[in-house]
Amino acid sequence: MSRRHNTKSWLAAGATLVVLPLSACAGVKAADPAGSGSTCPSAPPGTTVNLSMTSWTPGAQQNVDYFNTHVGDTMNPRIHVTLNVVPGGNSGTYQAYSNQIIAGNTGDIGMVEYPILPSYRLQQGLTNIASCPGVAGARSDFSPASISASEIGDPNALFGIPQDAGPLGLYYRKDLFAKYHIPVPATWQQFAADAPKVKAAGGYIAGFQYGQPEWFEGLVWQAGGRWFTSTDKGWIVNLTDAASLKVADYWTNLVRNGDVGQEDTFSPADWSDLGSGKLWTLIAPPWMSVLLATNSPASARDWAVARLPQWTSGQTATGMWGGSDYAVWSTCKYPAQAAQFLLWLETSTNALTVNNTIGGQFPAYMPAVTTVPAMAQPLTVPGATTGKPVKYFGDQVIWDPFTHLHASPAWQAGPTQSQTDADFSTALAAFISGSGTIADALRSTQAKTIAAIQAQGLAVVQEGSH
Amino acid sequence: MSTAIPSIATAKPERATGTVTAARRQVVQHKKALAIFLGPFLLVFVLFYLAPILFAVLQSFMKVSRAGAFGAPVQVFGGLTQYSAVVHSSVFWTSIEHVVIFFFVSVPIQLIMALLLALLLDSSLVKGKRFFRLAYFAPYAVPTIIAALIWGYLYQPQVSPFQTLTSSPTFGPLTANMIYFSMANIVFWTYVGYNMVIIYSALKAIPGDLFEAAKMDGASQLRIAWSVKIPLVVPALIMSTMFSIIGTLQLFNEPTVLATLTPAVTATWSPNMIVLATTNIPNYNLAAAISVMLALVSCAVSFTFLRLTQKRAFA
Repeated sequence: MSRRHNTKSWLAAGATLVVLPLSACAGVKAADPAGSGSTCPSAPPGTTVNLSMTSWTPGAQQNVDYFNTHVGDTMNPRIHVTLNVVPGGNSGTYQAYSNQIIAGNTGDIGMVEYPILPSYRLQQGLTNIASCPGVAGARSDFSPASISASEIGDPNALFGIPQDAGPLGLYYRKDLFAKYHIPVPATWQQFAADAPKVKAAGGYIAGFQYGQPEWFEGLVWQAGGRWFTSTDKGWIVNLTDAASLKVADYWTNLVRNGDVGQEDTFSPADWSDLGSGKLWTLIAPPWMSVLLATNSPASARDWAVARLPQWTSGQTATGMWGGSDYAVWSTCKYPAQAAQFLLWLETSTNALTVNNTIGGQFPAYMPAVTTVPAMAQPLTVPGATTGKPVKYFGDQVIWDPFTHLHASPAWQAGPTQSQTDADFSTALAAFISGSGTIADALRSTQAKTIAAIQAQGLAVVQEGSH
Repeated sequence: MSTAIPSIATAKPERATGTVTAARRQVVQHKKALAIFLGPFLLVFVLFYLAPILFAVLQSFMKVSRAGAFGAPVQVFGGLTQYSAVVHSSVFWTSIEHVVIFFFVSVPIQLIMALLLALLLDSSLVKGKRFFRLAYFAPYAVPTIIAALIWGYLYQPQVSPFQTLTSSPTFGPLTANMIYFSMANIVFWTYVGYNMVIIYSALKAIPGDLFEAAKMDGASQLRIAWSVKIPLVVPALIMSTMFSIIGTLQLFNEPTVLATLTPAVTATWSPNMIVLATTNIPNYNLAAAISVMLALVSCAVSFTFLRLTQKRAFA
């Protein structure tokens, strides 16, 4: 014990030496302050609470401005929000968060994608807002998978207010499927049967998005796989359950038969192939709609959206790729006011309309389908050359198929998800380059993930030992 | 020698009688000047260079301990835990292998080209020297990220103007066969001019009478280049090689950009990419250990290289 104390003071001294006076140090926190049974401190009535928020959602500034001028002043205590616009999480913001948690200056609210949220709980960076006023009542209005992601394995907790959901659907070239009389696949069996026909017509039915581990995880999620489970004793890690291996073998076959493309998602080559008709479908969430429209303008009106193909005909299962929360940081002084603001931001028609029309967001708040008028209309984007509005998906209301898909709340992200994703994409790159199978990639990622979790001082336990 | 010492010893007391205070004050003034001139540098140097290194070394000997699935992290002394993890990490050694292969693919030809260009510019054959000097050097002004992005566009068959060249499954620049050469090409494009300038300035520093003497002895331009110029710019070549060794071990921008374009480059391709990925987990202790190991490898390679070449260059 005395050695531990020594180490702590060493560390504290080191941290102070380097980063100047810090209020908090990762090594010296006593217990998990974010555990269940939390209280929710609130500012006294009649005061003004200033909240800081970090986000990269397009349109966030518009929403914050609206809130400050029209809504915040009517609340008691009054709430005023300052927005800090940052680059996307993986473009440096997540690393900044980690550093800010050590430095104790995360501010009040931060945007975090679901898979990364557990990492910040592990760093003791989050506040449990489950007991804040209004939260319990709103819980059931958000999609079950996004609430589950925000609970991080503790059904009595809530570590963020869900912003958008990322259910996988099927974007497809309606012109090409019609032209060659190939049925749009409703099941994976049909998808595999279509693949050689599409190839005969000179295209690929889809791209194997080897650089996007979350994409593949979404497909495993749909099939009923579950990679991580948190228990009181530690983590169960199972990247090679029956569902994962089923999906792995399915795509291994498609890739080895040469039936799918291998473009790196979001690369110029990928957008070019999506625009030129080389790739006939794109398995992706709602947020892809705006990206597709912006980057492949040539194929405007040729695309439509269908539900994700199913393993069993007639089901409505899907998994998520992306989707995000607004987390309340542990440095937030008044979580009650933070939660109050976030509930407005993620449930008011005004704010959700901005998120949907500017960022193509699919709200995690389920009533939005009926309350937000834009979600009953075709997606309109500025045309590439003319700037005139273009209905990229014709008259289809593309949100509709996504509304009818359901991601299971059983899926849980891992404690070192960014490492799992990095190692899995490295392994998938090796697979794409010709060595082994996707099942091999899962096995090697499993081993690396267990090592990385143990390196965090966490226990990895066997299934059934809860 | 033995007679000189006593004379100094005897001289000292004489001087000491009257001027000792002045001498002392002079020393004190000197100290002040030292503090004023060195102080700002030392402060920044210690705060932002030495302290972070010290902190990284310190961190690399720690590990994290927790309880349950979300227990609070407690930093405890971990001894060589992190270093053992690095030494046993196949990913780390694979990345070292990548940069070593890259070094041999990229650096020799780069330096030979730089030397040839410098010699050409230095010879009397070329007209428009100032233009060419600038033209070759210009790519160095382009940030490496931008260079990698632009070459990335040229490499992708779907968007490249060189369709037939880039779409070959065996010789396409983004295939696993060719990726070292494609990456080396980007670095080549950026750094040939830079190295050329270093060598060119070394050539300019050679005294003209050497060439005169060589000419009087009947040496041709080629012979002068081979027997006079090249031996005299060897120190510059060695310096360029040193920079290239260190630069190669720290390779980051080019593979990071290419990793978004081809499976032949993974997110953990080079050592520095692994450090970034590890800090993202976040596992600062392991990342610190990898950084320290990388620094040690760099030191070992650089000093070995210097040892091997020192006699030849500076004798």
